[in-house]
Amino acid sequence: MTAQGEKSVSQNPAHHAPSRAEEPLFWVSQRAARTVLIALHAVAFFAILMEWIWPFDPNAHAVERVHALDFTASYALYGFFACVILVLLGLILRRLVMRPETYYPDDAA
Amino acid sequence: MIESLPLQLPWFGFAGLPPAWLFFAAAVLVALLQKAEMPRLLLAVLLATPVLGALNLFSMEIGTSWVWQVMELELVQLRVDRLSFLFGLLFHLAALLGVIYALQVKDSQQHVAALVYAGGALGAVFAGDLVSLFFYWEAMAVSSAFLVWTGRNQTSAGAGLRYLTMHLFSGVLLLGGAVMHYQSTGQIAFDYLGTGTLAGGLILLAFGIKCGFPLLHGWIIDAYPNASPSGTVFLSMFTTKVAIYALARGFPGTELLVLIGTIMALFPIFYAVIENDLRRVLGYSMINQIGFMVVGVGVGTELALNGAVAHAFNEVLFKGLLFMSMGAVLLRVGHVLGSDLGGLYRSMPRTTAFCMIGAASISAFPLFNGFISKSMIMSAMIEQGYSWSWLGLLFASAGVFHHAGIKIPYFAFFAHDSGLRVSEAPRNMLWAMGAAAGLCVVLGSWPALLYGLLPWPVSYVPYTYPHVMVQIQLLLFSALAFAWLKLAGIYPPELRSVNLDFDWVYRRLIPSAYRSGKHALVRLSASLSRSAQSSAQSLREHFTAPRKALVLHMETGGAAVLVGVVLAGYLLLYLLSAGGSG
Repeated sequence: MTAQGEKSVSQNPAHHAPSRAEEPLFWVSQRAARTVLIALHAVAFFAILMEWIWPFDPNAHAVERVHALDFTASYALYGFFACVILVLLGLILRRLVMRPETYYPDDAA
Repeated sequence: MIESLPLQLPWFGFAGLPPAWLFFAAAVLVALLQKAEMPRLLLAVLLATPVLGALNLFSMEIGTSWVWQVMELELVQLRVDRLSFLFGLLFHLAALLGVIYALQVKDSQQHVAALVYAGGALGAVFAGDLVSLFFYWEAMAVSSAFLVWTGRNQTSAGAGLRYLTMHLFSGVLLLGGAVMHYQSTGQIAFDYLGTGTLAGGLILLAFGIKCGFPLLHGWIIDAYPNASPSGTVFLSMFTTKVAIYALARGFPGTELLVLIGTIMALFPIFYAVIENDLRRVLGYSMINQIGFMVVGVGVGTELALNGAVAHAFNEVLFKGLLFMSMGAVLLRVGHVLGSDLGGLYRSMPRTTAFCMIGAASISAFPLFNGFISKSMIMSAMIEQGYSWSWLGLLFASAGVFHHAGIKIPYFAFFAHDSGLRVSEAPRNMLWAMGAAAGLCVVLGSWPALLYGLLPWPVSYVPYTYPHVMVQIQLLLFSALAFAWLKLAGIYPPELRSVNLDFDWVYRRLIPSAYRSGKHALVRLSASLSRSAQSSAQSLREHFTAPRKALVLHMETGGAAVLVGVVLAGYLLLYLLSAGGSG
């Protein structure tokens, strides 16, 4: 969809850089991406360690937990597997519903 | 509900004007100033309207005023309580942010439509009766359709028409429900309605269309990605929030809403994962977030209702911010297709930072505003024993982080370098994004500021050790799943495509069924016509063809002889019969 209703006021309109340098892994560069990944793992497992050392009071205010998830790192596991299931089901959904860009005649115009 | 307003400026000394009127008057003024070619004054009016409106709001008092008696009906233009006040404040804030974001727009039609639209939303939340609500409901429908058309292309023209059809239909349902409600109760006051009557059911359906209930949600993902950058920002801030207000007013504690809201929170996240248009991803994300609010209304306790309206308040800020950041990308690059973006953080660092604040807020990271409102709804669900729905919403919480928290900033601003080199967003857009981002952080860090505005007393404390830790666990491990899936090459790549959703029914199925029906009728008509012609022809041939039994061909003289013979025979018979009788 293009921004035809509002004209760009850019003095430097979009153009493509002539060359691509290093193909980054996730982020700015391979190195930065690795740093971010290591930090993410460290903080994530630190969060589990915290719960293991200082267990949560199940009656504390604003704790949201059903009894089925009343064990250490339950939220971590739930978050992880929720995302994996989400992506896998998303891939199946894509097979069912994906069509070419020109599928709707007025979109193609 | 608390019987006093949180913010008042008593020195104004009058009970306030209906805020909608201010915005409608400003819309007329803007149209006149555009005609008079006075652009600076026009901008001043645009900026002053929400500010003066807010001052007017702060002069209000609890109660009803501006009541018109029309025949037997009492039309209440201004019903002020904590619920309407909260949404009134929200819509003034949203209008101010939207106006700042759209200051560079030269299209006066958009400014006029936006002011009427904001006025309609304000009118709806302050309306004390169903007839006035209907009037403002329709004003919103028509004015917001003009905002969809600001895309100024064939796609937005079609999307605007479909949008208008859906919303006018919603208005028809609302009016029908209001009439039936009046016939059965003799009342038109807009208070608790419930689903026990057909009138209540019709009105719930009307609100459901505006809310994006499952199978009625197509207009959100059809219209929002097709308006102009600032048009979409306005659209995202009002319609669905008015619907949440209306549900909270008319249907609190309706258990059906828990189921509907859970479905709304769940199904869009699967679409969002595979969608390529990043504004459409945000459309799906909006349905997901509204699902949380609908569940809150359905649970119906004070904590749940406070959570629902607080989340509506926060969603205007963080979803508006995300739409603003994608609008800035659209303005600079010309599209928001994830498959063709990437690396824009180099060119648009401030927009990137604001987008990431919006992403953190919608994901409900601690210190951001989503954290303090979404958890109110979740806690209320646990308190009331909705464990299965709670598990569904927890799944949706992880999912929303996945698509709105990670996917939007990642594919737009990071990922691979698409090579695009553009200018940073215009200054007014940055101001609007900065203000929204600041509010996301301030409200998230000092929740008492928002809790103090809520309609019912709040004793909820969001910042406890367990709550912060479980939320961090949920989000960080969701992020780990994304990273691992991406590294493993399983994460679905962004592809230029269209994904079929329920809008397929009225964009393809109904038109093609109509075309097929029309062709079948044409064919049937042609076939009947042919067979009628052929029958007529064969009859003609039958009666006119030579050597047929019933037809005697003879010359005129022969015919005269025949007639003479017949007459002579008749005369003979006559004479014989006369002689016999004599």
